[in-house]
Amino acid sequence: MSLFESYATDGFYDEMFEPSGLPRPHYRKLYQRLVSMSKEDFRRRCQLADLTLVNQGITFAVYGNDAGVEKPFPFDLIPRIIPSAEWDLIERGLKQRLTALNLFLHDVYHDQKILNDRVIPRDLVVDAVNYRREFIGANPPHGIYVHICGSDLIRNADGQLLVLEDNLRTPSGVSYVLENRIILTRVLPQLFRDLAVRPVEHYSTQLLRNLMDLAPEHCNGEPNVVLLTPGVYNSAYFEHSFLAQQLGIQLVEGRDLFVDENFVYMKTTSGPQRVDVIYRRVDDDFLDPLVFRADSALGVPGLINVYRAGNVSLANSIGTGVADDKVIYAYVPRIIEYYLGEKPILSNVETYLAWQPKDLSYILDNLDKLVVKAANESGGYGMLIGPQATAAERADFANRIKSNPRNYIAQPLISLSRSPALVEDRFEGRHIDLRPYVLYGKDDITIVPGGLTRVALRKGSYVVNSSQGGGSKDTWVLAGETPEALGGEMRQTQRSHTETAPQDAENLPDNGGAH
Amino acid sequence: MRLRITHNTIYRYPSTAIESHNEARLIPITDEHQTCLDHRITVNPTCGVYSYALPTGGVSYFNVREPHYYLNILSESLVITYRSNPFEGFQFIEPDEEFYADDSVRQHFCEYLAETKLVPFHSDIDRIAAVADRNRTGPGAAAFLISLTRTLHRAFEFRPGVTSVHSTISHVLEQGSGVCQDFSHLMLAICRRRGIPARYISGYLYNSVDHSVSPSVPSFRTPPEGEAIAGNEDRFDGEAGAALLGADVMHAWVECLLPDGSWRGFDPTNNLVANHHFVKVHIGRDYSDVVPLRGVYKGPTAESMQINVKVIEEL
Repeated sequence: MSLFESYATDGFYDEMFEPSGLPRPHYRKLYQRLVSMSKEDFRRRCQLADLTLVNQGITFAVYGNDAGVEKPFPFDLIPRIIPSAEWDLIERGLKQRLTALNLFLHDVYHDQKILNDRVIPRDLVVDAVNYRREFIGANPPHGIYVHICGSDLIRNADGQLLVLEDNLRTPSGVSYVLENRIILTRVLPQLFRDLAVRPVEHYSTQLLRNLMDLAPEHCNGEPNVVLLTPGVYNSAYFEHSFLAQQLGIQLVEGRDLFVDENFVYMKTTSGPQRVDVIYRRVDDDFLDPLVFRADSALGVPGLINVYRAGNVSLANSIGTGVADDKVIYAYVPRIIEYYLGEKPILSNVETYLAWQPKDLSYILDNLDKLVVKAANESGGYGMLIGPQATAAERADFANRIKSNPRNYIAQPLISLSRSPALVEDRFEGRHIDLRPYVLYGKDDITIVPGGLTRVALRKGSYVVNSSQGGGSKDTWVLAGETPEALGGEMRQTQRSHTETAPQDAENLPDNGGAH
Repeated sequence: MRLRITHNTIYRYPSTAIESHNEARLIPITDEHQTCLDHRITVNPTCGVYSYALPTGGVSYFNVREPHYYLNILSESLVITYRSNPFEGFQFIEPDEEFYADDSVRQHFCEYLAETKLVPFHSDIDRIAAVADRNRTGPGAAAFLISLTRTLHRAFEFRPGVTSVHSTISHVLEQGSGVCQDFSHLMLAICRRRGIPARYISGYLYNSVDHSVSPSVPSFRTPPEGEAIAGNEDRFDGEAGAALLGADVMHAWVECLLPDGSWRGFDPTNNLVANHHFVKVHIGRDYSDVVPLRGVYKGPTAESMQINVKVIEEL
C-alpha cells in the first residue's frame, strides 16, 4: 500500500507532480524511493526524525498560546526539491533585489535621489514608522545595511515564482534549514548519495566571515563578535542560541553589554571586554532606550551612537525596516530599475496600495477576494484573507483600512503551490513557500542553496508562518542534473495515485487565484 | 549680533544614580541667519562628550556610569546672528497660494506638512485660522503668518506648569494657556493644515531689556493689526518693553516656508517675528525631535532640575 495511494493534486500546482500525475523529472528518484517504502518503514523514519528533533531541542515559542510557551516546530519529512536551473534564476533574482534594496537604503539616508526624482513619493519613506531620522547621514561599514535578508518566495498556479515579501530587519528561521538537513541526512541517507544535493552547512562559516569583516578599523587581531538576543522569552530564542553555538560566538542579552566613552563592552568574569561586532536579533525599537523606545529593557543604552561613530558594527544596520515596509515592497521593481537599470528577474505579487484613492475603493469593493496586510507587521499577524474571512472580520478590516490607508496593502489571493506532506498515515497536498537566506558580505552576495520551505499544515490553509501552525521541510537544490539522471522513465504501475486526480488536469482551473 | 550663551542644567538625586546615558541637542546651527563660532559642553562628574551632525542640527552624547548625586551639564556657545530686519523680503500684497498648492512643494516638504502625535489637526484650529484671516493685512502668506502669530499671542495665556512636554495641542486648546512649546505646536498645526510647511525650532532668545545692553525696545514686534507693513522695523505695539517670555529658559518658535524659498521664524509666545535676537539650535517636526536633554539612568527620580540660561551680547 503506497503512501501516495489517495494523493490528489486537486488542480493546484504541485511541486512533485505534473498535472498528468507523473512526477516531475527532478522528483523522480525521491518518488520512486517513497512509493517503494512501506507505511511502517516510513512511520519508523518519522519516529526517528521526531526523536532527533526532541533530542536536539528544536522548539518554537508561540505568542498568545497559553498551553505552553514552547512546542516542537513541526518538521515534514518529504523534502522540497529545486532543480539547478530554477535555483540559478532564484539566486540571480535575489542578488539583484538585495543589491537594489541596499542602494535604496543608502540613498534614503543620504542624498534621497530616488525621492527627489519622484520615483517614490517622499512621504511614503520619510513618514514611515521604520524610517530612522536619527540615522540620516550615517555610514555603515562597506556601505552595507542589510547583511542578512530573508525573502519569501511563492509559486503561483502558473508555476511562476514570485517574491511575496522581503525581510530586512532580523529574519529568522535559518536554524531550521541547518537542523532539517541534519535530520534528513539521518533519516533518508541513501537519497543524499543518489541525488547530488548541494550542501547548506557552510552558512555559519560564511556568516561568521561576513560579520568579522565588519570589525571597526581600530580592531587589531581577532574581532570580538557577539549575538544579541532579546532573551529566553523571544519566539526565536532557540535559533539565537543555536546560531551562537554554530558560529562560536557569545550569546548575550542587553544587560550583558554596556557603553562607556563611545565603546561597547561585554561584562565578563575577568572584567569588561570590548565588543567589535554585534549580530543583533533585537528590533530597532528595543535596541537602545536612549534613542528609540525609552521603555525597552532589552537593549543597550547608548549603543546607536557608538555604532554611528564607527566604534562597533551592527548586523543588520539601523533603519532597514523602511525598505521592507509592505507599501515600499510595491515599489521594489521600480527601485531595481532605478538603481541598476535592469528589469527585475523575479516578479512581485500584484499589489494595491490603499493610500491611492483608486486602489482604496477597489480594495473596499473586493475585500472578499483579496488578502489585506498591515504595512509593518510580520509573522502572519495583522492580515485578512478575504475569501476565508467572515463578513464581520471583513467589516472590521474595512474600518481599519479607512482610518489609516497608508498602513494597508492588498493582494489577490495567490493559489500557492502544494507539496506532499504526511497527514496521519498518508500523503496529502499542502501549500508551501520558500525563504532563502541572502548574505551580503564585503566582497559579494552569497545564498546557501535552498532555504526554509515552510508548509501550511492545516488543510486548505495558506498561512505558512511558524506562529500560525506552519511547519517546515528540508529544501534540496540539485547540483546540475538532466532528466535521465533523475531516475529514468516511469513505469505505468507507479501512477496509481493519479486515479483520484482530476482527469482534465492540463486545464488547471483558477483555484482561488481571485484576480 | 555676537551672542554668548551659557545654558546650565543640574539634576539632583536623593540617592545615587548610576549608568546615566544622555543625548543633548544644544549645538547652535550655522545657516544663512547665524554662525556658531564656538560650542562646548562640559559635564560634571567629568566625562567625554561626543557629537555628530544631523541635517536638523547637532547631537552630543555622553555617559556617567559611576555613582553620582548630581549631574551638571554646562553648554556654552558663541553665535553671530545677522537678521536685523525680520520683515525684509516679506511679500504681503500678491496672493501666493499657488506656491503652496504645487505638488512638488507638498512632496518635498511633506515632513513639515504632516500631523504628528503632538501636533494633530484638532477641529478647533480652523476657528483660530479664521480669526487670523479676518485680521490679515494682505493676501500674501507672510500677512497671514504675522496675523496668526498675533492671534495666538492674544488668544492664549502664557502660563508655565499647566502643560507638560508630552502635551498635545488639545490640552492647550482646552485650557487656553501653555508655554512656548504649546504656542509653537498650535501654530504648526494651523500652518500645516493650510499647506504651509512649518517646523519646530528650539533655541535661545536674547532679551535686550533685561540685560539693558540696548536701550531701545525690541524692534521686531509684529505691528498692530490693520496697519500696512512695508518692512519698517520701528513699529511695535504697546506691550513693548515687557520682559520677553522664554528668555531665561530654552525657547521655542516656528519657522515657516515662504514662497521665496526661505524659512522665516515666528514666535507666537511673544508676538514676534524672528530677528537677530533669536538663536536657532535644533529643527524638528515637533518637540519630540528637538528634546534638548534626554537621558536614561538607574536610580531614583531626580528631586530637582535647575535650568539657568543666559544670553549676553558681546560688544
